[in-house]
Amino acid sequence: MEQQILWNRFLKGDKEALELIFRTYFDELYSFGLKMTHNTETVEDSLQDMFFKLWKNRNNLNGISNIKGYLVKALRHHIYDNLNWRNRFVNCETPPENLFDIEFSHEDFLITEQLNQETREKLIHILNKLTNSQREAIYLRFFRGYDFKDISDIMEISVQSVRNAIHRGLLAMREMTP
Amino acid sequence: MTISGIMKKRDKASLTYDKILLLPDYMNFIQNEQSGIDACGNNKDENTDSWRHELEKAAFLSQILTSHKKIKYSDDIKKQHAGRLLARIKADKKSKQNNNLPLLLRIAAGVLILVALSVALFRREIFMIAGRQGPNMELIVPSGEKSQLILADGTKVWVNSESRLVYPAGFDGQDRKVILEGEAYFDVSKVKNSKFTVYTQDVKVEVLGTKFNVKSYPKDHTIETTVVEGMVRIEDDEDKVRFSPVLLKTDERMIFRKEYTEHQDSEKINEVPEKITEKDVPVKVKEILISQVNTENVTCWKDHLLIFDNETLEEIAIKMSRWYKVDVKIVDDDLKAHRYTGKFVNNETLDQVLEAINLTTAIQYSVNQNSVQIRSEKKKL
Repeated sequence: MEQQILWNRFLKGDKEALELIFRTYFDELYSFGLKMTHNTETVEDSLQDMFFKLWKNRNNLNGISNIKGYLVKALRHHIYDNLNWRNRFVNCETPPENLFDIEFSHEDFLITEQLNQETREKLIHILNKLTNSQREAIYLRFFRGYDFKDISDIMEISVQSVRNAIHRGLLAMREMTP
Repeated sequence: MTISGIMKKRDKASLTYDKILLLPDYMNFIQNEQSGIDACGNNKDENTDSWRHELEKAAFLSQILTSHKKIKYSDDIKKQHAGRLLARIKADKKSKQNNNLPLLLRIAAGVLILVALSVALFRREIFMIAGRQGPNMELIVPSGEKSQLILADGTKVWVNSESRLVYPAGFDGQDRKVILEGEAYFDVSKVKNSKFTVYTQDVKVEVLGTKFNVKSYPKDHTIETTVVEGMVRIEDDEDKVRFSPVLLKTDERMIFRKEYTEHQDSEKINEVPEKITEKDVPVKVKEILISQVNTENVTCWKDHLLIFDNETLEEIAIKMSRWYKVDVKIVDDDLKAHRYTGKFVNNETLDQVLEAINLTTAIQYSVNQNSVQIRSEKKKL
């Protein structure tokens, strides 16, 4: 509710509200961006572009109920565009970087103490072998706690496709379970 | 009420770990069920065992998947980034306000610009786009290479081999102007009340927001404009007016035949093999030709596809020389008129392309460093 009030203030052109929104969702957006690409510059630029555009288009933004989901989706678009464009420069001989290549690393699981080195490596290996959409859906669902509807909005696929992607991802993790 | 509350016991027990984790409130569910089993105590039957096992699996996976490292940034960092955003918004607003400068200031600015323009007049091209649009940038793409860039207004430009693009470093909301020598594909951003104009040596192409390809090599006899999306307006050079303005729509191509002059602009970025242009086409009249085309064949170069669409070997030789940075000479004139259609999608090498041509017509070719010679195959006696 508080966020919605803040959002409405922003829609009316309140720059302070914009700054608060920016800072509120910074962690969420930044870490999501860093999962899409390792290039911090791309993430930072996309974040700036996204909020700048948001500010310029604020008059056409009525009716957004899920602010966090909307912002993640918008950022995803900007990063996609930036990466896509960057890839245009890549010589054809070197295949372009995989988009949405959410990649997991040891750092992601360091906090999980009961995971020994071997299990952790196995998990990372399995996660990174999933398809892009499976990986992204799993990431949004379990790492970020979005519900199916949010994920469907963010990834712009149906709720059923989200469920399927997550389900397949979970099945692939079968050998991880005790 | 939670899902676990409304589910029948039998249905619940048939859930495997993956189905459990798909429940909207899987965390509560696992907790409730586990404490439920614990409460029942010694009830040891097979079903409960396997149910407990699935719950354990689900609990384990959910734990390792949710207890990852959460990134938290310091307030300082957030403030810093937010500051960058606010500064950008402020700068944007300022540049808009410039249009509302007091009259006197505007006149002063006008005089300044006039001075700048008269200095720039020494180079006619620069004159065209200088003034209030900031310093000009120049992109030169040698043969054998291609390049892409985004202009300040968001317009995307792919620049083909052996081409030159002059563009302003920034646009101030006025009309956008660029100069092209060679070939480029434009994906123009729509900006309200701001035309985008491409100046070539002979014609100018005006658009409002569209995708199109312009091919205007100084050494070519034609200037080709092809519209992929939207509409463009093509006008002749203001001093010459050899044809009246043309509106070109989606999927249309206009070919403009330049009048042949022996000494063309000496400012060339790269030499096209002389042999090819030496034998000039006999057409000395200027004419325009508008036709429907498959735009994919025209713009494929930006995706690194080499396509020959019923083109003569002479035309192909020019294409290859730009594409592969080689000097292609056709020794036997009768070969020049042979037409070929083909598509090379895998970054084929020069040899592979020549070999493909060889497959359909008996030609002999020799590649010597950067020069290629194509001749008719001598009949075996």
